[in-house]
Amino acid sequence: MSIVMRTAAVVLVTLMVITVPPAALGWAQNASAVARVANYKGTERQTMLEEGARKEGALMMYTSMDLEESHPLMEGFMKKYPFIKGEVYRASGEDVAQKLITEYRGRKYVADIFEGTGIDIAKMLNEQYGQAFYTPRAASYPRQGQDPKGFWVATRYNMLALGWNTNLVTAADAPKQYTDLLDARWRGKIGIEADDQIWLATLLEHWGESRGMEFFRRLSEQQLLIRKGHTLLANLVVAGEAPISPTLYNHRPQILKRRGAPIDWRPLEPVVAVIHVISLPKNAPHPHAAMLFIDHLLSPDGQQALAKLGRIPAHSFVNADPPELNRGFVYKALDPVVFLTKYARYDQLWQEMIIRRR
Amino acid sequence: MAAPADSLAPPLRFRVDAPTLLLIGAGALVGYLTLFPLFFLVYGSFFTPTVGGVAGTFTLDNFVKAYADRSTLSVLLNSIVFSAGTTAVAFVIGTGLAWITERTNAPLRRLFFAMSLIPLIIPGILFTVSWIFLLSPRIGLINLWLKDLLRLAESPFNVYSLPGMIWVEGLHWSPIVYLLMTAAFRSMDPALEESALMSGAGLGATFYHVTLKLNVPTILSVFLLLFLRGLETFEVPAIIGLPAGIHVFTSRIFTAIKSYPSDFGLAGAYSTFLMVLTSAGIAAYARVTREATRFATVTGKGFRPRVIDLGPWRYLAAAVIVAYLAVMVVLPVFVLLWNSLLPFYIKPSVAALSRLTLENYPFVFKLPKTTRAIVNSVALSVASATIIMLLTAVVAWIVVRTRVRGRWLLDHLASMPLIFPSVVMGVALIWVYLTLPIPIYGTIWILLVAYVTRFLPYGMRACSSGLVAIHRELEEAAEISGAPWRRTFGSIVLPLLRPALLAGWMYVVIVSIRELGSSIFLWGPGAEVLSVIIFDFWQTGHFQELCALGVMLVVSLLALALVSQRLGQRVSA
Repeated sequence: MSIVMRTAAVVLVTLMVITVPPAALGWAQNASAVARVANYKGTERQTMLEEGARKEGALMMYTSMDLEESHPLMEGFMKKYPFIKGEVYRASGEDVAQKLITEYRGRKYVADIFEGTGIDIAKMLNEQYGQAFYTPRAASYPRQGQDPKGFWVATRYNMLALGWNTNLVTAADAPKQYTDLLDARWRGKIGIEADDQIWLATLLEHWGESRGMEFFRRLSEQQLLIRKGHTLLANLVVAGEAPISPTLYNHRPQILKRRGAPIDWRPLEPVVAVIHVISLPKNAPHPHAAMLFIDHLLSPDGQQALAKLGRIPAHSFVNADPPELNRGFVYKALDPVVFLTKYARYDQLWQEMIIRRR
Repeated sequence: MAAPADSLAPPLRFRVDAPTLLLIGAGALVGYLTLFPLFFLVYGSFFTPTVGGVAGTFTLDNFVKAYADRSTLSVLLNSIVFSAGTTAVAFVIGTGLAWITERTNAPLRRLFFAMSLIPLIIPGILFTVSWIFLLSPRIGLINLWLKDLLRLAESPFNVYSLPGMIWVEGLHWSPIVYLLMTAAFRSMDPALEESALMSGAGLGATFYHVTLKLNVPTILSVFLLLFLRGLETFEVPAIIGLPAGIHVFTSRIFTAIKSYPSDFGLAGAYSTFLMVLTSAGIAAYARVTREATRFATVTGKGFRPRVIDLGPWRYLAAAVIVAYLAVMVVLPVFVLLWNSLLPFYIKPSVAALSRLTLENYPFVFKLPKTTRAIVNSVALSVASATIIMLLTAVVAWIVVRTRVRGRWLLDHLASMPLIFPSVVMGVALIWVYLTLPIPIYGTIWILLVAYVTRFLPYGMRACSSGLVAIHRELEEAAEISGAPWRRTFGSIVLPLLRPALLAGWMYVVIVSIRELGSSIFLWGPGAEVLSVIIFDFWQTGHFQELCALGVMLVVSLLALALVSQRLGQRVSA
């Protein structure tokens, strides 16, 4: 080995060694500072939060809520607190959770808020990346709409309903109950969202194993069209690529219908409700702004704004718009923590029965 | 002044001064960029995923799952069929067109040659999306038109299939084949073809026995190149393959990362499999190109290619050109444009015209991430191209000009990223920067590292072939006149190398702006790039916004290409 190569090797090793210290120094926002802000209960809480947020000046929300709604929502918040520059990172719930977890492992802390399905939040909590918080707004929410340990509060419900393309299918023909989906005429025409394990899990819990398994086994013989993303699937129903889909969040067809798109929806009972919650990552770089946002979204104003955008609010006294979005039908919601503990099994069933069997 | 003769004998001998430091610096940098990802990828594939803050434990399961599972066989088969099919489609189309424009008297051939760069401009992800809108079984325009025209009950094509994937990917690579084969035809003496024709061989026999067989090295290298691209491509397998349930290695790696908990170890094990395949391909490629000298088709003899008179068939050839432009450019751009002007998808009809709107365009720009993605993409591609060209100019100089021991190692290190498909590079870099305490995951810096590493070999190739072509007497002259190394390098080597540097720079800019496979794993909020934003729009169902952004992107890339072509002409003039 020449002297040059030896020197190069030494340089390489030195490089490896000197890159170690920054971790010890920690680029992290002090997690205990976040905890302090999050659990402050004094009378001047609002003033304290506003003062802190003024210094922070920014807010980053990670959410699975579509840009068409999450953006106006953030804009409403910025109107109330013009000194905060709010931003939204939106992707599918699974992707947002994966991104946040990977970022935390890479010591990069960007998210101030994580809003998404209870399941995706539970993944973050499972990794110990969540921070319990106090908000006076939680009092207006039903008991099953908040975490007993204070890590999350419900913001909205997504209802999995049947949507169909009105140019290709008449309302009379469209399935009225789950078993109608098994009819031979729907073969190759049913769109299914690729990560709706919760749909299978909730129906299995409700119907019991034998009836549930029988239904999904027969459904899997229908040459299902698997697509990732509920918004995408709704658009594919509008386009006619999937003439019907039992896994659309009902607000999406409702919004599209209002805009004149050839789509309609109806509940298949029991409707599977997917709880969406708001949470605080433990190293949020702007904790004051984050708490202001949590308060805002859970306030009657914030919930009404959500309803006006077509979403189904979780607040006990705020109605959906139109109210039929969550009224007049039976719905079931699984406890996200329970779901996640059995996730491996449900995911295996889902992959084997629905995804691979096409 | 008489200099001692022996001081000239080994010219530019290595000294312990600027070049030494440079060698060490360049060597360390290249080593850091290429060895760390490889090391961590292999290391990481021996661990179970980290869950709940509990670090993974040592395991061989990932390899068992990746190599011994029954489903791997189908992934391997899919990968090979997909790559081979892509190669065949791209080769037949590209070579056919090259033959038409180079060797026949078909009308429109000059026009086509002038336009041949345009198809290269459309990024793979947009091309893939547009072909879904053309060949999807229910909404695909081509299917709908054919059904109407031929009164079919079923759609004739389904893009969500292996043939569909092969068609889209093959078509996308055909312009590259066209360019490579055009060059091969140009440098070949047509006297050989003429002799065959005069000796009574038919057109087909001549093409096969003379034209094709003489170009065997070129053809083999093109085959291997295409096959490698097919193995490592990500866009088509992710956007068409995943919904269709057709998995190849790159999409398997993608789904392993996207699962909960993220299975980096399994992704790493699949990556090693893929790297074994690409390494074999590259080894074969190196062998083929080394033996190319046996087939010397470029000689000192002057010749002008003879044009074959196709007679009435030349109109058919012209029709082939028109059809090619239609499927390659006109139809994809049309569906993008059409979709960008609608509130939601409607198939083209007179009734649909009343719904046309421009609102998607302002919506795209209302999102802060769009402008940020444009700025990031431009900055990243320019920065990585500049860094690569400067770094490889030095490395290539060391390899080509000096006699430093171990320089072959440097050469190999700089070319090594070729074995990293983009997706594998993404996985490897996640490993590096989740393990090393350098918190750049999810920032623009990790993307810069990814692009510089991945495209290093292209810069290396441009620079070393450029240097080989420049005689060293000019540098020797400077050396003798007492110029320090820095001056020689700055005022002689770099200026002389300018055409190669510029060509390499342009190429790296173009490939980095389109890069998706590693960016998709490494980006984060604030560090968005265009390809990722487009992929995101697709995944979240915002087709219309995607198409609006796509139209603007194609238009600006086209403008950029035209400007750089002009500039290129001026530089070479």
